[in-house]
Amino acid sequence: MKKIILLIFILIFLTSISYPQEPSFNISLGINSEWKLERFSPLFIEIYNPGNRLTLKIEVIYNQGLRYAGYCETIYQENVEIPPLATKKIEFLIPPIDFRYPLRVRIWHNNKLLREEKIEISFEKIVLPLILILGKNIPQLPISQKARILRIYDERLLPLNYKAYDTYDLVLIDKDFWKTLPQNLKNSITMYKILTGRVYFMDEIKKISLELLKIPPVSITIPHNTILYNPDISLLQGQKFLYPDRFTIVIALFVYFLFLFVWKRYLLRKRFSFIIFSIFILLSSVFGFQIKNYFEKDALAISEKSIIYLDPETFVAENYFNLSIFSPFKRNLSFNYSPNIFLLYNAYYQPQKGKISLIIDRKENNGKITIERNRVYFLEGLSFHFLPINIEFRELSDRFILNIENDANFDLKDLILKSGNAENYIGSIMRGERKSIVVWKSGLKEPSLLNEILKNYRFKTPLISQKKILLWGKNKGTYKSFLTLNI
Amino acid sequence: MRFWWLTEFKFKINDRKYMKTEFTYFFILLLLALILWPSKTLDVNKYYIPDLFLIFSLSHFFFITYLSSLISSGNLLAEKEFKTLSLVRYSDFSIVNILLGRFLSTLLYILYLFIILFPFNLIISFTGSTNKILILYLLILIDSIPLIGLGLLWSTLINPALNWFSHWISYLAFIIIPFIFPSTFFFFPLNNILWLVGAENVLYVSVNFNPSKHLPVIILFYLLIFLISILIAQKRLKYYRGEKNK
Repeated sequence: MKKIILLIFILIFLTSISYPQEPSFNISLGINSEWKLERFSPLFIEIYNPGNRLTLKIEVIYNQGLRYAGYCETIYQENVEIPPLATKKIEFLIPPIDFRYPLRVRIWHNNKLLREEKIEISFEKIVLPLILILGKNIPQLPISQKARILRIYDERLLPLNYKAYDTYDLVLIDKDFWKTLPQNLKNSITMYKILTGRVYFMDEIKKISLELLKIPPVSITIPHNTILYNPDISLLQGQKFLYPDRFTIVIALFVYFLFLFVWKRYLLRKRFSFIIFSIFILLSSVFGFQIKNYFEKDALAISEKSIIYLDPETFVAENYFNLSIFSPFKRNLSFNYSPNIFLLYNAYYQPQKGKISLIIDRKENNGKITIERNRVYFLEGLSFHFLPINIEFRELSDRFILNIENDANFDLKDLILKSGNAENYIGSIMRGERKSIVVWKSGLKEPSLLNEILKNYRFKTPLISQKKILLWGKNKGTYKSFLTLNI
Repeated sequence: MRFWWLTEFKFKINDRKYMKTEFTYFFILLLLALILWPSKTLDVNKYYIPDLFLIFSLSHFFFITYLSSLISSGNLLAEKEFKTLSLVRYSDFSIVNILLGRFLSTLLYILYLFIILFPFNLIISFTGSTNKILILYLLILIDSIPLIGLGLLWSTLINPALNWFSHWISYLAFIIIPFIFPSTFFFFPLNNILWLVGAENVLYVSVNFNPSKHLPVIILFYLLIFLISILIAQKRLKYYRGEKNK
């Protein structure tokens, strides 16, 4: 009997070796492949491993659109280990997709490409409003226009990242289903509700604003490249490099050539002329080498601009940051980013010769990019914070009164108050400072091309409820806390 | 064997005419550095670091190849130096010794120039590695060999105008002819310098040079030009020495 059992095991083993079973993949952008244009969306990759333990490298390639001769892309990488006969689901958060360039997924095993897939785009679908219903019951919705409704009652299909819910215009939850949800999903949906206000329980349908119920379809236009409406290079402008200036260099060279002259004219026939010459050349070479190093290390300009969405009640904040990088030389940059950054991508580029790839290792929290010389690059990211910035807001008939107390660990610069579609510049609030600001309603202005500040800060999409008061501006000098560049 | 060429090299370093030539070149380098040195303040719309290594590599190439042809052809003689023909006529050195000595003193002078330009090259080579400077030196040295050989041949001409004219013709032939061909021909000296400085990306010229394939070929080819020139020069000098003996 033992022999037979042993034989069966050997046979099974041999069969598994002779017929290695390929893993199967299910790739879906959004739940059930439903996602919306111009929104952050979740990408699910489900892998079933019928064979031996597998380690796969998954790459999600996100393109930010073609311009001129080259293009830029972000490659999100993750190594996944899958035990035998197990299914693993990996979730990626994808920034708003440029409809011209579909998302690509590549799966590698031992440097061999197992699968490459392009996510197809159906224009009829992705422009329509998308409503997510969580629960078995379908509520009566006062929606008269075309919309997609997605009903989910299996929690395993839901994304864990709160930002992934951005793809839904409205989320309606059945209270019974809510009770069954695990805490991490509850947290994500709560966070999404805090930051967007687009989540309601089914018995709150009457409270839903008309604005949310009458969402027009997205019009297909060529998207902007950054979260900021216009790429902003203002912070790079005027930065000083550390290498010596031209006059220092010319004086140094003049001294060098003068010494050569003196050596030739007066010292050449002296006894130690050769030794003097050697020492002089050696010292000058060390000096030259030092200047060369100055250039390589310091000729890099980086600036950061952030847009912070802060919920005044919970102090939960979303930070959209835009890093501008410029170098006069082609160089490889690698950086580590803090864990509260959950999305980072290559946002905008200038005309360039080749393809520029930002490679993000999601597990190691590091990134790599090779930048070309004399080009400005933008990296954009999304992070969440707890920001103790206390805002007391009062609206009177003719003015707003704001009391802002900045207990966060950074200075807030060039803040803007937004009410509806009108905006006003309200100045800066340093860390530890408390300010009382009065904004007259008559002073609020529509964003216009004439107003430089507002132009730089305009939005690509209305990401927040218009009733919310948010601070947005620069938080100066903090990029080091987000990214640590290794040059 | 006497190292008379070492003494000749010392004359060259010490000579006023040489000094004038060197310091005129240094002055040009200084002016170029003053004009081209990048600004310390970043103006995103205008900021640009010119490829100083490219500019100065090309200027070194033109200057040093010109000097090597000029010196070896005897058109730039130090105060105490003798013409090749005078050496043949009035010294007891063998002809091979004279030709090799002239070659070595020119070569030593080029090496001396490389050394004194090294700190300057380090400062301006911020776009490349230090190895590039050494490769540049090696390539200029290789490129100078046929010009030195031809210069030695021209130094056997009695007519100074013809000597001067031949030196210029051979120098220009090496520099200008590559631009006459539709795509640069790898045999010509400037081509390998253009390859080294990556001129394709900056100047948009087509550079046809593959070091592993073309470098051995050009070394052989240049040595061949050098040897042929030396052989002809030797023959001519033998004739002059024979004439003297008569």
